[in-house]
This record gives sequence, structure tokens and C-alpha cells, in this order.
Amino acid sequence: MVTYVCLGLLFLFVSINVIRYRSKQKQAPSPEQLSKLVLSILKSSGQRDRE
Amino acid sequence: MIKKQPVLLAPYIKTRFPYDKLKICRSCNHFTVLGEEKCPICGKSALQQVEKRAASKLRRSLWGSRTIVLLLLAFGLIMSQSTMQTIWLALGGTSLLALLWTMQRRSTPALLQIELDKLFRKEAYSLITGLAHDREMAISVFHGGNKTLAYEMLREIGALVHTDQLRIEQILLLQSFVLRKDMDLMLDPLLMDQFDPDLVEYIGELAKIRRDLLKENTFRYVLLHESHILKMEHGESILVNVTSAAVRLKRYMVLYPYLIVRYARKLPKDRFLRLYRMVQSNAQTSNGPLYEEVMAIYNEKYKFDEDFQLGKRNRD
Repeated sequence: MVTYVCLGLLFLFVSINVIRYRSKQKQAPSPEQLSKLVLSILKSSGQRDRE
Repeated sequence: MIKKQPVLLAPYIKTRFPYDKLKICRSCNHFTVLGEEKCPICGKSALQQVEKRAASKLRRSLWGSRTIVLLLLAFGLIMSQSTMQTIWLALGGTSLLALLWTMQRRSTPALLQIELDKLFRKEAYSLITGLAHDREMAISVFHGGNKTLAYEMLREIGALVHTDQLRIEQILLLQSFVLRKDMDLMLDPLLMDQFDPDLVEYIGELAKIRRDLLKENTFRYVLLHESHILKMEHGESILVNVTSAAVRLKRYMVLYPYLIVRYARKLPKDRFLRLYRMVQSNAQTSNGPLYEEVMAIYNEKYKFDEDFQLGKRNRD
């Protein structure tokens, strides 16, 4: 019985992870977006310095 | 006038994305774009590329999921009461593990980007202070008298920090060097919105030694601040040099005809010859104000010039 529970848990865990990875593939930022993020973080610091 | 010093600049290494230049310390989480291994804050040889840091964090999380699957599988196998149960679990478990592994391999590039995004957002303050510390280091190197190294450091920081202050500092340092054609120079990243006479002087120098660096952004900047440039001591000669650079490509001739019209008369003979030939061969400019101006200058100054006749005869 415990073995089947383990198999069920395994199935559940892997299914959740597969769905999570699939959704993350769609959500992932592109390298260009990452570049923009870094530049905007550093630009905002430059503006704060001027103020 | 400040005496310009001859220098030898190290070549600038371009990266695919600006953040590829960033390194983070494994020990103190300090960000830097300077230095290869040694952290400027804690002194330990613990600097690593941000991508490497994200990859190692991702690897840990992926192994975490795999370990959970393996543990569940092992526990199930230990607790199995019959051969049938063992076979079912072994088959089902390995198939599920293979599925998880495949999905993880497929998603790794996307997961890596997400991990980098998380790292930058979480460590934003550290990123800002890290780059500010880099700039302070460059300034202290400048005060120490090593202008070349100070410029190289500012150039690295400038890949990520796009502020006018940093641009001005780079331009001022460049203006204290004897610029040569073989130097690894740049212009586009140094362009600002506001008028800056040092930037204009730098553009003027580049227009003489590296015309290829003058691109659309530069011509737009020059046109936008033309009236200010004309008020400068050598303003007009700078504009003539910039026009000489604009004559380099047909594209610029089509995009900025009025800049060329205004300074064509003052172009040196070789540049005017190039302009004349381009105007003659380009159908788009064959009846505009540029064509008229070029033909008027040609008739006034070069009608009987051998070089111009030679080109004409060759075409005939």
C-alpha cells in the first residue's frame, strides 16, 4: 500500500514540476529584458545621485 | 591649453549583453565590472560571472527536485511488499524521473534567465553600491595619476552605467590623450542629450581620424546643437569635419542633405570629389537642393580640375 502511495506522490510531484517548468518557459525574460532591467536599476541610482 | 599625452589603450572587450561584464563575489556578494578574480571589497579570489552564479543556484534547485524523486522512489522500494509492487514502482519511478530530467534540461535556458532576473532584483542595492564603488576606484586611480587606467576602468563601468556624469568623465579623459586611428575608441555610448563642448571637440577629432565612428546618432546630435557648435572657437571646422564624415555613405547623404548643403563649400577637395561623384551617381539626390549646391560649387571651383574631369571621362 505504501508503495502505491509513494508512486502516487511521485506522479503528483513530477506533474506539478512539469507544469511549473512549462509555465516558467513562457514567463522567462529575454536577455534584452535582463539588460534593460540592469540598466534601469543602475540608471535610477544615477538619477538619485543627481537629486 | 592642456598638453595631450600619448597613451596606449587596452582593447575594449565587447560582450553580447552588458550584464555579461558583471561579476559577483561568492564571499561578500559584491558586484563589480573591474578585476578578474580578486574581490575589491573582501580581497578574496572569489569573483565569478553572474551567469555562473545563477547557473550554480539553478543546479542546486534542480538537484533538489531530483533528490526528492529519488528519495520517494527508494522509500517506496524499501516498503514494497511484493515483486509486483516493486516492478510497478521501479517502472513508474524511473519513467517519472526521466520525464522530470528531460523537462529540466529543456527548461534550463529559461530557468537560468529567471534566476538572473531574481538575482538582479534581489541584489539591486548591492549592484548599485558595487558599481558606485567601481567608479570611486576609477576616480582614485585618476587622482593617483594613471589616466589611461582610469579611462579604461570608466569605459568598463560605462557599459552598464549610462549617466551623463560618467560620459563627461570619459570624454574629459579622452580629450587629455593624443587620439590615434589605431586606438579602440567609441562614440555612440558617449553621446548625451544636452550640448557639451567637450563632446563636440571629441566628435571633431574623431571626424578627422575615425570617420567610421560617426553614425546617425552623431549626425542627429550635431544637427540638434548646430547653433551652439557654431558659437564655439573651432565650431565651423568641426562641422565641416563632420560633414566630411557624412559624405562617407550614400545613406547619410540622403538622410542629412541639409547638413551637407550648408558645409559642402568648405569641404576639402578629396571629400568634395567624393560627394560630387556620389551625387552624380545617386538618383535620389539628382534634383534636390544638395544636387544644385554641389553642381554650383563644382562649376565655381572645380570645373576645370583634372581629378574631376578624370572621373567624368572614366564614366563616359
